[in-house]
Amino acid sequence: MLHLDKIIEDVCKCKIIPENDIQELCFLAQELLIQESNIQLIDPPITICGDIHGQLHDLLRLFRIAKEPPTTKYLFLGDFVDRGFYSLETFLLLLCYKIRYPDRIYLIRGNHESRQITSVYGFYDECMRKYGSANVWRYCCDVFDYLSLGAYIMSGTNSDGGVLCVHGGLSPAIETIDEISLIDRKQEVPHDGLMCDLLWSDPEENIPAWAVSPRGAGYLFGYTEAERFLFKNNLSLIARAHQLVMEGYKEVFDGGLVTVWSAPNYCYRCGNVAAVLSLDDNLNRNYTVFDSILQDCSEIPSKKPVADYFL
Amino acid sequence: MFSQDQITRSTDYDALSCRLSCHLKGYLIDKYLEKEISGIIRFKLLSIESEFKRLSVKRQLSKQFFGLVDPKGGLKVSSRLPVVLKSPVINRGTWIRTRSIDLVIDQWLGENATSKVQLVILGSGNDTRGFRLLEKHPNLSLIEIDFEETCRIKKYSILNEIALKTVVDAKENQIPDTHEAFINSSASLSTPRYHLIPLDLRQLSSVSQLPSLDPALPTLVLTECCVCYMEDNESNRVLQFFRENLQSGVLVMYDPIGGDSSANYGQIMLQNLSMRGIQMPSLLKYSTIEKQHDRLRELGFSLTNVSDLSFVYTHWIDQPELVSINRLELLDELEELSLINKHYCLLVSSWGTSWRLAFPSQI
Repeated sequence: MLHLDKIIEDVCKCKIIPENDIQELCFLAQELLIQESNIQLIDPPITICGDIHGQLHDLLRLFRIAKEPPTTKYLFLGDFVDRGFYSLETFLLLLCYKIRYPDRIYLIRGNHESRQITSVYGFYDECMRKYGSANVWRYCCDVFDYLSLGAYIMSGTNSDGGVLCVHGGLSPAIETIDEISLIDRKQEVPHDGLMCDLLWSDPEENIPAWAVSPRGAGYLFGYTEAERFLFKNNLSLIARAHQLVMEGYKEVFDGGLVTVWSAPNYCYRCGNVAAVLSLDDNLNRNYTVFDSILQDCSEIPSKKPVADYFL
Repeated sequence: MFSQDQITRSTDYDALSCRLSCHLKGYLIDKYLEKEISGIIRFKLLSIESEFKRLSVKRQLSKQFFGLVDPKGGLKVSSRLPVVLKSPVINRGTWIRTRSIDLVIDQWLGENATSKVQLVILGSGNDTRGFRLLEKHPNLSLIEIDFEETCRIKKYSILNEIALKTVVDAKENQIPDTHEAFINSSASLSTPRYHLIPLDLRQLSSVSQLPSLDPALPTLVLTECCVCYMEDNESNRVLQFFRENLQSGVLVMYDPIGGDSSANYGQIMLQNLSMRGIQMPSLLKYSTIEKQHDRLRELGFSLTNVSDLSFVYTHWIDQPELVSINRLELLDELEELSLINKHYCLLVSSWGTSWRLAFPSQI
């Protein structure tokens, strides 16, 4: 039997969680996530968070500022892991909360929740370093495959339309939200196609429609495409993450799209602030901006957070 | 305890491992690099007296060079690449750093293809750029200046390896094989085309310290992450020395800049570097390309090109090359790359010559 409260306590202290417990956590999480649809329908009020990237201490600070679940209902837009030095703890904490309060916290998939990307950007190495084998990484990757691709925040009273939340952005392959429901999402993130685009695309103010993304996956989409999609799907906003914004959040396309970024001083190097977006019952937007906290976790064999520079 | 100078010298190994990562990933083709690193490892270890410390340095070097250090010494690269090289952001930044300086030097050498010219590299460390240039340009002579310890290791890395020895045209054969003999050997190397000069640049005050330097020849002086480690007055004196003592020249300077004071990128960089004991005294003083521009102007240089590396990345490299670079590995961190690149500057300036760089300048 899992003692979730104890695990949450240990994770917050960066203590090593036994491999068996992680396996069980991941199994329970899969059971929950498999029941969720590709685009989850969620009622407001809700607090939307962008990329976390393994910055556990900043996530704990986020929870202190915006209140812990279940007090506040959360939607995390993916990219929980990679880059930061506590990817595993970050992901486990979110999973624990998900299992404990399934209707008070929602997790959707980011482009880093993938086997290929995590083997390049740090999560795989972190698991190897902490456990000496890839088992823990494998359990987590199996959970990634079950994460939803997006969320739709329904408007109760406001007739302006709801909010679509995805990690990256739009895809030239879809016209309506319903089309996303048809994807079989339980797989590694493909290199192209609709599922890939939702996780990889970016808005671009200087182009009208579609362009190739310099990231090597997904597309850039301009004002016209965003407008068209908002209108056709009766949306007031597309909320997404995926791109570092120095001010924590950035609205573009006349307020029709927002990027939310929740990893302050990203990679312990960038000097940016972070933000979360709270939507009230009427989907009014309220941004909370916060900066970084850096605490040392000495109980875990881990890299010291020293950022790389060109020397 | 490590002295400040030792810590500064250690940054050379960071640059070297970044270039190795780029080389192994296919960003840069450098046929001398693996040979050079092999020698560096061997002679770095020979330079250490205590066997215990030698083991610990060997471990450090092995970590720095991605576990590719052969137990018997030297570098061992197999066809199967190590899982962990430098991150894509660092690879891309290292590539643009090396590539942009290549572009400047290539243009300058191209326009001086028929006459004798010299290249002076300040704080050259273990860079292999000079070897590649010597091979391509028969009219070029090369002067590299660095700390004595660094030069001694580089000298024997060259003499130990036939390809390096050939390219600098060295005739010396004596290679010390004991620690005693090594540390007592001369650190300088001089051939008709190549001069490795052990000298603390802060002590540079007279041309007599650089006998191989010909003040009348057209000269390109390269400083790549070198003067940033000096105190402000020391670095300015070094730059001024070359402007005053050479009849005509081009200065190419690549250095970090702290950035706008309203953002705290530079502050965080100083904090992060201080965890390794590294100091960059003027990072916040010359924090923008405008301030670097004014600095060199006041030292008497006329600026031909002042840009940050993000500008260079988007304006100097043509599309086909960018496309082929983008294919090498997926880079998810575009915003971060552009942010980091905005905090490095490339300045090209000249004196006594009408030479102009053909690439666009940011200011």
